[in-house]
Parts: sequence; structure tokens; C-alpha cells
Amino acid sequence: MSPLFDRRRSIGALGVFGATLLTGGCARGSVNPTPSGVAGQPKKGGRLRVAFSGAGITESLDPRLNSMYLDGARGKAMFDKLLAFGGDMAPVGRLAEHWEAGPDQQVWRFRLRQAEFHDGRPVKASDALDSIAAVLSTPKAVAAQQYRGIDLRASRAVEDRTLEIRLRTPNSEFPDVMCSYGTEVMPGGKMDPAKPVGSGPFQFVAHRPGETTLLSRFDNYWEGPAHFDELEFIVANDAGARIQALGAGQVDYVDDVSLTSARTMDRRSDMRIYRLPLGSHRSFVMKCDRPPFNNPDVRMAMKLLADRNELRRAVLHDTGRLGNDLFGGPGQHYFAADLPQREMDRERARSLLRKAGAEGLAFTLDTSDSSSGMKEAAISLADQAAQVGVKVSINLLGKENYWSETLEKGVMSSYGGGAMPIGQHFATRTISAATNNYSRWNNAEVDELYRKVLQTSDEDQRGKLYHRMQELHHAEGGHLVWGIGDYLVAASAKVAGIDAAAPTNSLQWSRFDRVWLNS
Amino acid sequence: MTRYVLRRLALGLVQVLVVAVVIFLLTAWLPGDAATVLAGDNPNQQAIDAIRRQLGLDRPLLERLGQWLADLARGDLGRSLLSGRPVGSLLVERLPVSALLAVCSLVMVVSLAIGLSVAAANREGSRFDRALTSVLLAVYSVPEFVIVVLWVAVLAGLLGLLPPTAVGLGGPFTHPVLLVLPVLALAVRPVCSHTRIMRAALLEALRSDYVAHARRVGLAEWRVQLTHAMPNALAPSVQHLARVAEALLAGTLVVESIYGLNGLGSLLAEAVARRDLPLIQGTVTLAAAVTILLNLGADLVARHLSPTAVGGR
Repeated sequence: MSPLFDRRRSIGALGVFGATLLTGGCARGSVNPTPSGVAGQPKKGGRLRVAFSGAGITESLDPRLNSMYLDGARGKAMFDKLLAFGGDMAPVGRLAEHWEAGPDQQVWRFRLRQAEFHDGRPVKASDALDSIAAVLSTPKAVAAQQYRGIDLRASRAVEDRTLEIRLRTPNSEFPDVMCSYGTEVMPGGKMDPAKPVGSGPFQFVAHRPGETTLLSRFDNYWEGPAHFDELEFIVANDAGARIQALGAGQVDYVDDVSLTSARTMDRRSDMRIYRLPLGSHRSFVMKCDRPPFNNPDVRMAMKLLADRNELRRAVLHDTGRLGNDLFGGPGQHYFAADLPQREMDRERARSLLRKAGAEGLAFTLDTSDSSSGMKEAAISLADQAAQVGVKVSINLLGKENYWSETLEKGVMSSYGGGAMPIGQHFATRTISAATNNYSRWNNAEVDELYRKVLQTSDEDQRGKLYHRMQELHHAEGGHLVWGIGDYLVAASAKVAGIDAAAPTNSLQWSRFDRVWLNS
Repeated sequence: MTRYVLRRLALGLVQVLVVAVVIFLLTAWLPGDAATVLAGDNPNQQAIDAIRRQLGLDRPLLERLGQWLADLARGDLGRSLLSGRPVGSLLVERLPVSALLAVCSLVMVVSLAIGLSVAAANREGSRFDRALTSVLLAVYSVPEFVIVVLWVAVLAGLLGLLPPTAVGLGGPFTHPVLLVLPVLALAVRPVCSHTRIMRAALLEALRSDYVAHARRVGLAEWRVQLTHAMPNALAPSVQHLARVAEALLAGTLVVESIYGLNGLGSLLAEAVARRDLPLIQGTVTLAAAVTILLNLGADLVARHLSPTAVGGR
């Protein structure tokens, strides 16, 4: 499988929480940012052929059931959500033009814009509510877990364009949930697999599972019609085959390009590589509830012995950024960019190990080929650890069930994930009740701070709380985040309008209605 | 003959069932299942359990196996766990590409093997014969996945004669040129093995008393070879051809995946990767049934060509 996180559902992998910055419930930025890679005047017409990795014959057109990047990109072409993540991973409006919470952060009202489905029906609040109900009744739906905090019986369509959602507990970050994978609005909450109807910029024409999906422009799209007449999604699971197809002119856009391919293709004038920021955090996770990493000094020793520059050179080919044992990255809302970059200090690492009585430490590091570079980073860390007398044995696990195998078992494993809001990183990975708390970190102060975050409507106050949480995570947490990789996509040089600054999972990423062909 | 065919068919049915049961158990024992695949990197136990219940994976293994066998008896291969679509229709969708690939490869193998073996056998010990034997042996030692990558690098990358992948071009029925590289990749090794077997069989036939007799009575050489030597040489090679067809089936799994063709091979690869048990079962059962039928067909043809050579199996 392809480079880091072919299925980067990280966004779809959360609890009911989220992170955002809604001040007193005002819609924040309902205008979409302008793409930064735009060149020249947009041209109309033609067919754009885009190649993604997919779930093969088992794939479904229903974006509520899968969370691969293909599902995210195709979902936004055919459907709309109430909200989406902006470039800084804070919510921006889509079908919802305004949203606000009651004083208790437990009742949320969404005001829908005027939009219509492909069959001409208007998009109503009842459709949004039915779509939530449909997800809640489908355990394998991607958003089923996120929605579990919704009190469906008490939620209602106040009128045609006003939706009221009541939560079981206060949650100031609830808008993030409505940005996540699998939250698309469908007429009556239903989707006919033979002829799906959405309200997105492209409408359904034909679909062959695991092969292609052909869509055509929807002229009545609320944000204005797309430039292309047609959009074709082509499923190709082999990263090499995808880039070869681009080189041969058989497709126009390729998702998920390996760093090696990018180095080769960078020399070609007929195609461009786009390095999307905040593509993925590259890390190792230590289990804080069991030896040897239940001792904070041993965790810190591991963080200090790591040569992040070497890891970045070897695995990221000198691209991306150094990690600072934090989730997210510079430019992202609430990111604690002022915390000092952790540098390698092997003397201090030795001293901490001595203090902990862990000289000659030996343990097994679980890793996998689940994402490119994961295994290589693990081997590199093992070499680095050996230089301070720590013996790390590598255990290579199968990629199909790597994530379920390492959630409970082992002491240290390779870890990573795509871009998502800081609050969701905490909600899903770091607080003690997080569903994906691979580190088993149980910090009462962080839990309490997060509880306060969910109850406060003041954005500045939330910012301060998040900062303190990141300080604690940086100092004591179980994540050794050594790098932040770019996410690479490639396109023919003729394709214009691609936003090169949009992180994956954000609104402008894979916005194929906003691109055009220059020839 | 009818009893022989019926006996073989009955035996084949048992073999298919055994294969299906073994594959079911092996797949079930693999770490992870479709529920963990669906849960992705959000694998908390609550979510996995809910998905497992929804997919029916919480039922006992033997109960699921029994249900699958009962459905099979009614001609129902079940539904894909992840897509919910009938396995039968998925197989029917993907079969034509693989069948076309296999048939084209088989035609290439047979025609090249006959031509090369006749040329070599008639020049036994010559420089051509020795060179051909060495080349065949060397090429045979290269696995399919290396061959397909080499073909792509040379014919598509270096010379630009063919598309480097099927991605973006649809299938071989709309773009027949997409067949060339996969067929070349699939056929190379079987051509080597089949040529060597046919050459040996032809040599044996050409040295036989009945060929010597045909020559003594003054029959033209082409007639001697075509009507006397060749049929006897074909008998063992027809049986080998069944093995070739089996190898082609296995080869498609690799070649289709690498070249981006949507056939049964890539379907099985996807099903295994995603632990879609009914889909794996259906594909393997079909492959087992085809293999058994091919072998039976080959034995019958061989019996017809040379009853004494095959014996009474």
C-alpha cells in the first residue's frame, strides 16, 4: 500500500468530541479560502481523470461506509456536509451557513443555506436529521461513533432550513464532528446505490466497484458549477501503477505519491508534484500503563535519544518537518508552536535511564508495512537506541490488522495519522477515555482540562486550555512524534487550480470542482 | 468411459469441498477479520464488536461453515461481507477478463511450444537445439512478477510501445492492447516448460518403431511427423497443458494486480487483504472447480490421442 496512510480516516476516527473555535456559537468562516495554486483563468469543459487507491470490489459509493481518501474525495464531489475543515482544520460552513450553540453547549442549531439535490429537491433540515439517524442505525458507518453523543429523539428539524441537535453532554467542539468522514447529507438520509443523489458539484453517471466512477457536472450547485463537464474516479491500488498512468497520460491527477516517485517525477516538465502540508505525523507510541514506559523518565529518555534529523533524512527524504512530540503542526489552530523543539540529548537520555534503573533496557517495537516508511523508521530508531545501550527488537506485524493488534498489546509501536484538529487528537488519542488511546496515558489534569474545553464557549479560554494540555503531552505523554510528513499528490502540468496548501481531509483538498485543464 | 467421467467428477466434487473447507478454516484462523479491516485504525473493541455482529461474524465458526455449505448446495455462494453484493455476480463480472487473459496466454503457449519443439527436435544436438534449451531453462527460472516488471520497463518505459499499466484505460475488451504485456508475462514461463516437454516427447516419438516403419514405407516426412509422431507426443503434453492452465490461473493473481487489470486474480487479492471470507471462498471454489475440470478434460483428450500412454486412470 501506498505512502503514509492510504486510508487516512483519522478524521473519521474519533469520539464524539472535536476541536474547534466557535466563539459564542458564531459561524466561523463560511467563505471558503481561495486556492493558492491557481494559475490563469479557469476554462470550462473536458473530463478530469483522477486515480486513487480504493477498497477494490468491496468498495461502496456510500461515503458513510468507508473512510479511505477515495471516499473522502468522491464524497465531496457528489455530496455535501453541513461543515468542513478549513486549511487550519477549524470548521467552515458548507450546507450550514451559520451554526451556534446554546449557553450550555449542549444544544446546537444549524442554519442551512439554499441548496438543492441533483433530482431538484431542496435540501432540508429533515434530510440532515434523517442522515444522522441513518448513520446511528448502522454500526459499520464511519461516523457512528462520533454521533453516539447525539440525543436523536430530542433533536429536530425546527423548520425547513433550521436543524437543532441536542447532545447528551455539553460539547463545544461538536462542529468538528459534523466535518468528519461519513457525515454527508442525503435526501431522506437514504442512498440508492444504483443512482445516488446528493447535493455536491457532480452528479452520478456510472459506477463499477473497484474500477471507475463517472460523474457529470451539476449546474445548479449552490457554490457555482464546476469547470469540468465530467469527473472520473479511477481506482488503482498500486502506487507505482498510478504514477505510471499519469506519466503515460492515462490519468490527469494521482493521489498518494511515494517520495521516491516524487523525486523521479520532479524532473519532468509535463507533471507537477504537490506537497500538501500536515499530511501525516510520524511517530512511535509508548504504552504508559506498563513497564518499562510507565516510568516518565524512560519515556523521556526515548524521546531524547531519537535523532529526528536522521529519521527525517532517511524516511522523509528531507521533506516535511521535524516533530516535537505534539500532534498537529505550525499553522494549525491551537497548535502550541511556542514549545521548544525537542533536540537529541543522549547524555541526558543515559542519565535518565540510570535514574530509572533501566540501564541495558531491552524491549520489542511493533511495526508494520501499513504505511511507507514506518518499518524503516522503526529500524532506524532501533539503531539509534543501541547507541545508548538500549536494545530494541523489531516485530513486524501484518498490515491488515496492525492497528487492532497494537491498540492493546505490546509496549511500543510505530504510529501515525493524517491531519485533524488538535482537539480531536486529544479526544481520540490522548485523554484517558479516548477510543484510540494507544499510549494508555492516563493524566488526570489533561482529562480535566479537556472536560473544561468542552464546556467553555470562549475561544481564547479554550486556546489556553489546549496550550496547557499540549505542554503536559509534550513533557510526559507517550508519543514520540519525530516528523510531520507532507502528503504527496501529482497532476499533469495542464491541470490548474489545485490548492497546494490544503492539508488532506480539509475542504480544499481534492476539490475537483475548482480545478480545470489549461490546454 | 461414462463411468470413468462420472467417477472423476464425483471425486472432483469432493476435492472442491475439501479445498473450500480448508480455505475457510485457514482464513478464519488468520489474525484479524473483516470487522477489524472495516474498523481501520479506529479499532476500539466496542466498534469492532458492533461491526462483527452486523456482519454475522459473531456466530460460531462451524455454524457459519455449515451455512455456507448449505447455501453452496443450492448454488448460492453467499454475499461479500464488505460490499454486500452476491459473490456469484462479482465472479461473473471479473471472470471474462481472466478468461480472456488465460485463453490468449494458452494459445500463445501452445503455438510457440509446438513450433519451437518441432524445430528443436528435428535438429537434436545442434547449436540451435542447445542454445534454445539453455535459454528456456534460464528464462523459466525467472518468476512472473519479475517478468511483468521487466516487460513493462522495456516495452512500455524504454521503448514506449505499450501502455505501462491498465489504469485509466478500462479493460482489455475495449483496449485489446492491454492484453499484450500481461499475456507476454504469463506465457513466458509456460512456453519454456511446455517446449521442453514437447521436445522430449517428440524426440521419443521420432525414435519409435512406428515412426521408423512409416519412414520405411515411404511416407513423406511432414506426414510422418504430423500424423504419427505428433499425436503421440501430444498425449503427455496435453496433460502438462492442464498444469499450465493452473499456473496461468495462479499467475493472473500477480499479473492482474501489478498491471491494474480487474480480473479474478486481483479480486482474490483484494478479498484476502480485506478478509472478505465469502468472497475468498467463492473465488477459490471456482478456481478449484476449473482446475479439476481442466485436468479431467486433459486426461480425456490424452486418452483419445493415445489410449495406451495414459492408462486406465
